[in-house]
Parts: sequence; structure tokens; C-alpha cells
Amino acid sequence: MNETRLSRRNFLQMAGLSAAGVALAACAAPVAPQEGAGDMEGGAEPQTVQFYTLVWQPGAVEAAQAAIDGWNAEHGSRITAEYIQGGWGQARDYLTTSIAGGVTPDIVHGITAWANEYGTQGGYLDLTELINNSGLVETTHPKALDAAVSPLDGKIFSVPWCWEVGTMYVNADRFHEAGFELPLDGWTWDDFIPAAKELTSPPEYYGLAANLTATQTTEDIIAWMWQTGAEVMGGSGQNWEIDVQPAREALQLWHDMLWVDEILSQESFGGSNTLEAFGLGIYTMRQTGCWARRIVMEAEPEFEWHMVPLPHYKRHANSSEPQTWSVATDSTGRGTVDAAWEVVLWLSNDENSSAIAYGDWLFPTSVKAMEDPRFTTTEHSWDVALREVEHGVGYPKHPAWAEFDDRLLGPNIQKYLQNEMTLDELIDLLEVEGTKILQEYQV
Amino acid sequence: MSTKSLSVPMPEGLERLSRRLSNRHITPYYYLLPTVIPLLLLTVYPLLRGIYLAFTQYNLYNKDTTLVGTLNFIELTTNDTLFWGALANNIIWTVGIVVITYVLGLFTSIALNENIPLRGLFRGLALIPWVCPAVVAALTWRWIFDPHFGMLNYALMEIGLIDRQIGWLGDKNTALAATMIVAIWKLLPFSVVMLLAGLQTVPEELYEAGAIDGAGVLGRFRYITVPLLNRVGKIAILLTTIWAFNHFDSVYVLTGGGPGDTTMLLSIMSYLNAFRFFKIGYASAVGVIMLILLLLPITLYTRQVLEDVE
Repeated sequence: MNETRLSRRNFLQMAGLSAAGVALAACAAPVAPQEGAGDMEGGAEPQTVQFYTLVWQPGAVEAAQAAIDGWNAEHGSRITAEYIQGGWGQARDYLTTSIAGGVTPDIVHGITAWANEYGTQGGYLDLTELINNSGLVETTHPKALDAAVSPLDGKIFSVPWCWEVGTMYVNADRFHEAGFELPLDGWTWDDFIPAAKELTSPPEYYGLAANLTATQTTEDIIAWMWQTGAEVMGGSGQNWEIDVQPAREALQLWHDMLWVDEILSQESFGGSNTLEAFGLGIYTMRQTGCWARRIVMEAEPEFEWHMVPLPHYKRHANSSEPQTWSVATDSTGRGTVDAAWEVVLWLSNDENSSAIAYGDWLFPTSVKAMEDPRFTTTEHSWDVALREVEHGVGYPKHPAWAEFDDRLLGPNIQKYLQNEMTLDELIDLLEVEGTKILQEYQV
Repeated sequence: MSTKSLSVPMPEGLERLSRRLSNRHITPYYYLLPTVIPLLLLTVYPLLRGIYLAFTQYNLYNKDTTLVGTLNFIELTTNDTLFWGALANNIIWTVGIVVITYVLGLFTSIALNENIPLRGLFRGLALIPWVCPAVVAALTWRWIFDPHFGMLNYALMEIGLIDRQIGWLGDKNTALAATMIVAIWKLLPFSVVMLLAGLQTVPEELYEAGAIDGAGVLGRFRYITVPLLNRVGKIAILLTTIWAFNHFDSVYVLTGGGPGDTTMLLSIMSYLNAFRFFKIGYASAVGVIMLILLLLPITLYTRQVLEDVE
């Protein structure tokens, strides 16, 4: 063999070319495995299914991990489930980029509104047939299942497994001292306003706090808009419209609570910590979901509080969005759809969904699981929240909703509440610009 | 034993390739490849791709790259209710940050250039905001601005400047200023370091000569310090302008663009269009407009750097 010396210059050239080659190779698109490549054949490696979850309260994280451990203990030789911890704050960015990059985890936690949005755009699989053949239709609460059905095409892109309700937390001591009964069985706007006026004493304490920050305004006000009978965005198929006129009364009410009656604290606009302030008595009432009970209790263990329904008006409604498991379209390329579906069914069974929901201070969507005494007890107001499930309303399931909400509804309600525009201007803007957004998506 | 070459047998084909590649004029370019290729892939390609997408209606899901001409730009400038407000915010934000950062940086660097006790410690402390991750800093500041539990309200109430809590990030009158404070806090160390380095190049003899000629403190500052800091000051201003104009992270964490659109910047607008509404083409158009607006400072900066090199 000819032996040649490799000079330093040659070596550097080769190194440069190799580095360039590696860089190019690293940038090349990954080759998707053939469908079914991961299937076990004659003792082959088990398939791995990625499970991306957004559970965050300690009890829920523990229960979700236990469910995955349980699956792996029973079925790990065939299908291994891999737990991936996500967070609600980053979930949308993560999912959007994952779907665009073709690397979405097999099972994705979310809410029905997101599932419909991503599903309609092709990021999640249509699970209609799998759900119809699984028995979930019979066991899941009809309202939760309805929320998962896309009104555009009737497809179901997610399995609802738990949900929460929008409620009002009240300072029980202050209610009693002022001679008001706790409205455990419900109350109306006419009951609420006089009580809130009586229970406000600015700047020492305010009757009500909400979360009116950029991303949360809609969440806290929309239930009041629904209570007027407004759908905000309603329709089916290709016929959708913006319907905010009836919501004038709700918007006016919130404006008056801020500027006329001084019931609502202006700190709601910037307050990520109004929940803790509620525990300190700075607010008599704090509107939020039933998930927040642990935080209130842990912040002020001695504080006497109670959870009551949201005041209702023409309609009894609270904001309630079922949480879901979806199967990513990317699973098709990895050949893991069937395996992912098996794990979804495992996570959605009564035992696991109840444990995870309970750990998150929420309800399972299984009718049978909701009868579990843990969810019907009067302790920590579970019974009040359970009754409110029947009045839960979810966000409109139209792909234009996210843009309408983030771009128009939330910011402009903030502007109206901060006196940057009149109510008429707000309604006109929402109708005109909202209709444009709808048309754009419908095209 | 030392050796300058490695004794490795080379296959004949590889040897021929090696000889061909050994041309003295070509060889230096190979050494640049490990730097140039990542630069092309990670900077130049995304830039060109972004510009191209700005002329399409590319959506994260439909991936439709059909050219639509200037439609996105026309839509942005004529029909978008957010664009002009966001642009105005960007201008106020950038000018405010650049001016305040420069002035504060100048005085801080002059103080740190003096022979004060614990000067080394103070110089180290001045760098802390720079090394603090942006999101961590924003979250910390969110607590500082908190109406009930925040240090700012507490301090202002203690000294009697305010008599009730202010929701700094939630009030339309204070939100933009509050977010600017965070950005200034984060960018200030850069100005301080640059200007301090500039100050240390000013010969002490010039100040002595100025003093002998009867120049007071202000006179020496006006006629010696300012002119001699001109070059480094220009670079500091240009870079701060670019960074402030492109700023995203702390505003997004602190306010998300609200309340209303009070703190909506072009960068946040672009982000929302891309990752909330999946309109990559439209978001790219916002990015291209930002690029065009930044071309002037970028050109000036590049020219200044090249002058310095020469």
C-alpha cells in the first residue's frame, strides 16, 4: 500500500470539509420512519409514545406520572409511554412550532378550543371514528363531548377528560359581617351589585378583583357576555357571525363597576397576584376558576373563604373549557397512532382521569367518575363547583377565534374599560373588524 | 519525540483530491468554511427566506408559498388597526431607551472612572443586569411592579410620593414607561462598559492641560471628554438603537403588548401573527419593515466599525 504523509494543511482542509459536511447533514430534513416501523415483531423493541402534558399542580403531576408509570408497568414491554412535562404559558408556542416542524409529541394535552384549531389546520388527527368505537361517547358527559366536536365539519380532534368551571371566590367573614347570605345556590346580577357595593371600601378594600391582563381579559369577562345572551362568535359550518350587541349590558356593567361604583379594583389590569391579595382581604371577591382553591388555601390557611357560582343574568353561564388529549398527525409518520390511542384510553379511564383531575382541583368528564364522593363533598366547595358544571360554556370553536380574541376582543375591552374608547366604538370595532377576520378564515 | 506530520496511509483517490484542493489561492477559503457555512445557514438563509415569505401568504400549516406581491405590506399599512400604533410605540420606546441609556451610562461610567473607594466592586455590580437572563429579569421586575406586594409601590408610599397602589403594568398611562425602565436597566451596563472603555483611552495629560488653561469641570467635560468619546459613543448608541428597536422578551413577559395596545411593539405584533395566528407571510412582512427601518442604523454602525478598523 502506498503510504502518504498527511500534512497539516491537508488535515485542516479535510477537517474543514468534514465540518461543512456535518453541518449540511445536520441541516438536512430527517427521514421519517416507515409506517409501522416501530411495531413489535417477534420480540422487537417496544414502541415509544410521547405524552406531552400541561398538568402543573403538584397532585396532578404526581397522578399523571403515576398513570404513566402504571401503563409502563403493565404494557411497557409492548408500548412505552414517555412523560414530557409542559406548561400552560409556553404550550401554544411549543405546539405551533412542533407541528410546523413535524415533531409534535404523540399525545398532546390541551383544551377543546386549541384542539379544534390545530385539528382543523391539520396538526391533530380526526379521532371521531376511534372515539365512536371506544365507548367514550357513552361514558363522557354530553356537554364535554359536544365541546370537542368541531362545528365546522363535525370532526372530533380530542378526547375531553377533565374540565373546570368559572366561579366566584368570596370572603366569607366579610359577607357574614355585612349580613349577606353566601349565595351557594346561585345569585343574579341584581343580587350581586348591591352586595358588591356594600362590600367595597376603597382604597382599603374593593368588592371585586379579576384578571384583566392582556391574555386573561376575555377569560374573565366572556361569561358575563354570554349571560346576556350574546354568543360573541356563533354559527356552524361556513355561516358564522360576530354577535356582540347583546353583550353591551355586560360590558357596561364592568365599566360601571370600575368607574362609577368603584367595586372593581383597577389593579385587576396589572395584577397577577390578586389571588394572594384576596386571601389578605384586599378584595372581597375574586373571580377565577375552581382550580385556584389550593392556592388560596395555601396562601392564607386561616382565611375564611367560600366558592360560589358566578352571578347570572338572562342566562346562567360560566366559562368552562374541557381539557383534552389529542393525537398528533405526526404520529402517522412514526407509526405510533394505534399505540398513542391505547395510551389515551388508559389516561382517560375513570381511575386515571379522576386522579389527575382531582390533583388539579378539577372534574373528570366521565359521568360515572363525577359521582365519586371526592367531587360531591361540601369540603372545599366541591359541591358548588359540581353544580356549576351544568352551566359551563366553552369558547367558540372556530379557527378565527384565537385571532379575534387576541387581536380584537381582549385588547379592545381593555381599552374600553380604561376609557380609551366608548362602548359604541367598541361594539362597532368588534363587529366590523371581527367580521373581516371571520371572512378571512372562511375563505 | 516530536513530529510535524501524521503518518497516515492515504488512498490514491483521496490523495488526488487532496492535491487538487491544495491550490494556494483556494486553500484559505477552505479554512473559512466552518464559519461561513453556519453563517449562511443560520443567518443569511433565514434572512432571505424571511424576505421571500413576506411576499407570500405562507401559513404554518398550508405552507403555500405562492407569491402575492406586496399584498401583505398594503394590508399592514392600510388595513391593520395595530400597525401604526405599534410603529409609534416602537419609535417612542427606542428613542426613550437610547437617550436615557446613553445619558445614564455616561454619568455612571464617569463615576466609575474616578478613583472612588470600592471601584472594582461597583464596576462588577454595574454588570449584573447584563448577565441576568432577560426573562428572569422581567419576572423579577413584574414582582417589583406588583400593585400590592411590589417594592416600588411600597417605597413610593413610604416616602409619601403616592397615596394608593399603582398597577404600573396594567395602567395605560404607565405601562410603556414601566417596560422601558426594565429595558433600560438591562441595556445600561453595555453603555457603561463601552463608555468606560472610551474614558480610559482619554490621556490624563489632556485634562491637566485643560485645567492649566483654566477649564473647569464642565469645560473639560464639554471640550475633552465628549469629543473624545464621540466614536465609542456612536457605536454604543447605534447598537442600543438596534437592540431596543428589536426588543421582544421583557415586554412580552411583562405585558404581552397590553393593556389595550399600549405596549404593542412591532416585534410582538410579528410574533403574534406568526405563532398565534400562524400567518408567517404576514409576520415576515412586519419583520421586513423592521429591517428596512433598521437599515440606516445598521449601515451607520457598519461604516463606523470599518472606519475604526482602517
